[in-house]
Order: sequence, then C-alpha cells, then structure tokens
Amino acid sequence: MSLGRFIAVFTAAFPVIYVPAMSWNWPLLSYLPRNHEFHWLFYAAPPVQAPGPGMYYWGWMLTAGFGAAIIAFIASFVPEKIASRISVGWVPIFPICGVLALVYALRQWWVFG
Amino acid sequence: MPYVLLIHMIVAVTLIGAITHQTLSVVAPVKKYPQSFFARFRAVNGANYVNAIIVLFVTANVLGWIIYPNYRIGARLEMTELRLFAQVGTFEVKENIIALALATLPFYWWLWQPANAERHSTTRKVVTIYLAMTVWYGFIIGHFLNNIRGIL
Repeated sequence: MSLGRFIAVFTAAFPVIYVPAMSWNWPLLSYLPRNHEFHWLFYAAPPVQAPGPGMYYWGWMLTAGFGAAIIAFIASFVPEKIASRISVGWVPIFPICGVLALVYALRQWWVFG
Repeated sequence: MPYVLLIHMIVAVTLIGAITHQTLSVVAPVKKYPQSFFARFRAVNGANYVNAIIVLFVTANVLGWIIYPNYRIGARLEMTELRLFAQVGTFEVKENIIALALATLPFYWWLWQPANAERHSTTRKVVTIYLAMTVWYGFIIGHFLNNIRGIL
C-alpha cells in the first residue's frame, strides 16, 4: 500500500464526489440546528419553519470523505507498473475544476435571485 | 458565539499571513540577500510553514463549523428574507470551496515533504497557490458577510 498514492487519489476523488453530493443533495447525515437533531442521510426539513432548516454541509463532506477514502484505498493496491503511468501533476486539476463546478452548481443564487 | 467568531477571525488572519508568506516564497523566491521589505517578505523557508498552515486551516474550519449552525438559522434566513441572494450565494461558494481545500491538505502536506519537494515542485506550487486563493477568498467573503449585519 502506498501512502502517497492514497493521498493523491483521495484529493482527486473528493471533489468528484462532493460536487454531485452537494448538487443533488446526498448527505450521509442531516443536522437540524434548531432542535440539535442528527438524522442519517437526507432529512427533508422545511426551509424556514421548525424543525427546519436542515443543514447538509457536514453530510456532504462525510459522503465525499468516505467515498474518496474507499476509492483511494482501492487505488493504493494498484500495481506500481500501472500506477506510475499517471503523474501526480494531474491531481490539482480535480479540486480546481471542482471549484468551477461548484460555482456553476450554485449559480441560481445570482441568476435566478 | 461572538467570541468564537472573533477567535475564528484571529486564526484566519494568522493563516492568511502564513500562507501568503509561503506562496510568495514559492512563486517569487529570493535568490540573493533580500534588500527591500517585499523581498524580505518572500525570503522565508516555505517548508517551515506547512504544519502551522495545516493546524491553522483545520482550526479555522472547526471554529467555522461551530458558528455555522447559528448562521444557518439566523443571519442566512434574514438575508434570504431581505432578498440578498447574491450575498448568500457568495458565502455558499465559500463554505463549499473550503471543504474542497480541506480535502487537499493531505496532498499539500505530502508535496511539501523533503522527499517530494524537488520532484513535484510545479505541482507543489500550483497546490500552494490554490490553497492561498481559497484562504483569501474565504477571508474576504467572511469579512464582507459579517459587515452586512453592521450595514443593515
């Protein structure tokens, strides 16, 4: 198992999972700050009235964190001969493109506001 | 909660100083003895800042997570009622890009290890700039949003 490869794949996989998790609302857990309640997966809460609003930000991070860790764990066992063909120089492209995708996914705040 | 917000800001200011020093040291390294203020600002050993930046970044995040539920049921609802959608959206971008940057920290740490520093110097430079831009964006937007309360 290679630590360097685990870290590189985790960094690349995290935004690939996070952006869809945020866009289509796939949190691993939901939090209702008004009542201090945690719920597994997506909990549909009213946007203003109690017990809402729901907070999904932590849940998206957990979804992406666990997903990326699983992918990175599997990738760390790929034989060196195959893995060495892919340069770690490509890794920063993933979070940078992730930022652009996030801005696009959140465009409704400006476009339809 | 205002105390947590204040500590969050102090940590963010420290982080912004550290990461700006480090970024300039990799983008425009000083070759000879620094003469000017700007040259001295860049003439730091960036590797010495790595652990401090990681600790400060994580600390600022944890403090932000403590504040966030209050923001979610307070300031954000008020801003939405006032139809300040662009401001809310700008903060939404901040919290989400910070999450992406947080996941980049292990890679950033790995790139700054002496064994990898020379071999991946360009990647290290790109990741350091990316983190610095994220921190600057987060700082400016956080400060801007906090000021809205004063303006209103």
